[in-house]
Amino acid sequence: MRKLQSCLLLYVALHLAASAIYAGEKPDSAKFVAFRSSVSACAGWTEQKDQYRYFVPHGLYDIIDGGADEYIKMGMVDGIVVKLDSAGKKTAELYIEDFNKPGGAQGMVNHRQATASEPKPLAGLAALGAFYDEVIGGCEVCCYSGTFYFEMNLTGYDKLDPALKDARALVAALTAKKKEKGK
Amino acid sequence: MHNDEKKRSDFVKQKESISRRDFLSSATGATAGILASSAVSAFGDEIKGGWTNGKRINPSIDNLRVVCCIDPAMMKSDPKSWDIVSQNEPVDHEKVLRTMDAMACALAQKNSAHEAWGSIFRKPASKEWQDVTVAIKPNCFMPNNPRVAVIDAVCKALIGLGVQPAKIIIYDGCGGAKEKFGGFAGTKLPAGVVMSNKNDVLGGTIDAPVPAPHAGHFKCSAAIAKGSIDILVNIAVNRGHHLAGTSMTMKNHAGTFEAMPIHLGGGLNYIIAFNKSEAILGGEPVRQQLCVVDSLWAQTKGPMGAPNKRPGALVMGTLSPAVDYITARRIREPLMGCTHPPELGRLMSDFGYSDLEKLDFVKVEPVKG
Repeated sequence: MRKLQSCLLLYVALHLAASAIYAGEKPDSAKFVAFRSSVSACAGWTEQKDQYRYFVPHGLYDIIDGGADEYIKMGMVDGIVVKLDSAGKKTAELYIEDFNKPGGAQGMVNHRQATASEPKPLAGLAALGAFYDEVIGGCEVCCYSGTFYFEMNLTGYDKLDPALKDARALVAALTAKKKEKGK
Repeated sequence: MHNDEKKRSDFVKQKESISRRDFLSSATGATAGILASSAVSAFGDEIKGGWTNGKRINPSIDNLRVVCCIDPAMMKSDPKSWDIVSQNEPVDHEKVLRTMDAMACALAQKNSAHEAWGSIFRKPASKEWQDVTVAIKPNCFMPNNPRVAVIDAVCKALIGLGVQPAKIIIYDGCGGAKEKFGGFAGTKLPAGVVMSNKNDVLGGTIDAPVPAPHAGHFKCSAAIAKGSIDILVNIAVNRGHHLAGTSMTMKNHAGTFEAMPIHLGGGLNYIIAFNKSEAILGGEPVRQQLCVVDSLWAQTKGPMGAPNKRPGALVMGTLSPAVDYITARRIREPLMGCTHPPELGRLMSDFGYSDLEKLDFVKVEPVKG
C-alpha cells in the first residue's frame, strides 16, 4: 500500500513538473536581473511587481497569444515582461528577450520594423537599430543590444515627444547595464 | 487533468502528445501542419460542421448584408491609456447605443429598433424569451477591447426582447471577461449580467468536432459545444494579424475553441474550420446570430499593441466571414491604409462565396444629437 502511495505521489509530482515545463513556468533566469533592476530604478517609474513575468517560448502565447509566433520563429530563447507606472497614468510595458545567437536580436528588430505600421528611427540610437511606431497615447519602441531584444510600449501621453523622451531614457538604462555586463 | 485525459480517446491523447513533442523540439511549421492535419476524424467518418454552402444564418437577413456607421462623434476624445477604464471613458455611450439601434434597423430593414432586434435575434420555438440563454464573446485579449457601450447595446436589445440578465453570459475562454467587464455591471452594463472567468460559467471545455479544412476534435466552451446556449453574439475589434492580415470576428472564436492549434500548424485552416463548426453555426435557429466589429479605434498591425488609427466605425452583420471581409476591404484598406495578403479572400471563398469585388457595406448615417 505504501509503495502504491509512493508511486502515485511520484507520478503526480512528475506530471505536475512536466505540465509546468509545458506551460513555460520555469524558474526565473538570473541573466535578466540586471535589466529588471535598471528599469525599475529609472527616475519617475515604479515597477508593478505583481505583473512581472518570466517566460520561455510556449509561455509567451499566454501573454501575447498569436503575436508569439514571430518571436519564436525568430529564435527567442526566453524573456521577461516588466510593467512600470509613472505619475499621471503613464505606463510602460517592457519585453526583454534573449535570442541567444549573434544576429538573432538584430534580426528580430529588423523583422518588427518590416512589419510595423509607420516605423521611424529613434534619433541617436541607430547603433541599437532603434525605431518607434506611434500609437494613440504613446509609442512602441524596438531595439537590441548583443543577443538581447527590447520592446517597449508606452502609453498615457498627451503628445508623442514626451513618450519618446521616456523611451530613450529606458533604452539607455537597459543598454548601460548590458555594457557593464560586457566589461 | 489526469481524469480529463482518461476520458479522452487514444486518438486525442496521441494528437496532443505529438503536438507537445513537436513544439518542444522546435519542429518546422510544415511538419506541425502535417501532424495536425493527420488529426482527422478518428474513425474515418467525415466531420460535418454547422455550415453548408448556401446556408442562411437568418431567413430574413441576407448573409452578405453588412451594415456600417462611421461617426467619429461616438468618441469624445482619444484615450491616453488602454486599460479597460481609460479606453471606455471617452466614448459617448448614449450615442453608441442609438447608433447600434439604427444599425439594427438597417440590418433587419425594420422601422423600429425593437422590431429590428426581434428580427435579428431568434429563439428556439420551444422556449419563451425569459428562458433563452445568450453568450456574448467579446475579444478580451490585449489592450483594445470592444467598448462597453457596444456590449451594453446588445445586452439592452436582448433584455428588451425578454431575455433575463442572469441568462446573458459574457465570456472569453482565454480569460479576461470578468476581469475587464465585471466592473461595469450595474453601471455601463446591465445589473445581473453574468461575467465568466474563462469558461467557468459555461461548464469548462469539452472536445467538440471541427470540420475541414482542419478537421478534428478540439476543446470548446462546453455550453456552446453542447448546444445549451441558444444565441451566440460575437463582438470583436479591428486588428492586424499575420494570418490573412487581420483579426476580427472569425479569429475571436480562438477563445471559444482552444487557440493553440493555430500555432501548431493549424493556422488559417483551423480558424476557418472552427467557424464552420456545429458549435458556432449549428442549432435551430443558428446559434451565432450577430457579429459586430468595434472599429472606433483600430490597429493596422497586430495582434499586439495599442490602436494607432481612429476609424470611428461600427460594423455588424449575421455572417462572420462577411463582416470581417467587408470590414477589411472597406475600412482597413481605404481608411487605415492596410494591405492584406491573398489569403483574405479565403474568408469568403471557403464559405462558398465568389465575385467578392462588389461586396460593400450598407451605410448607416450618423444619428443626430
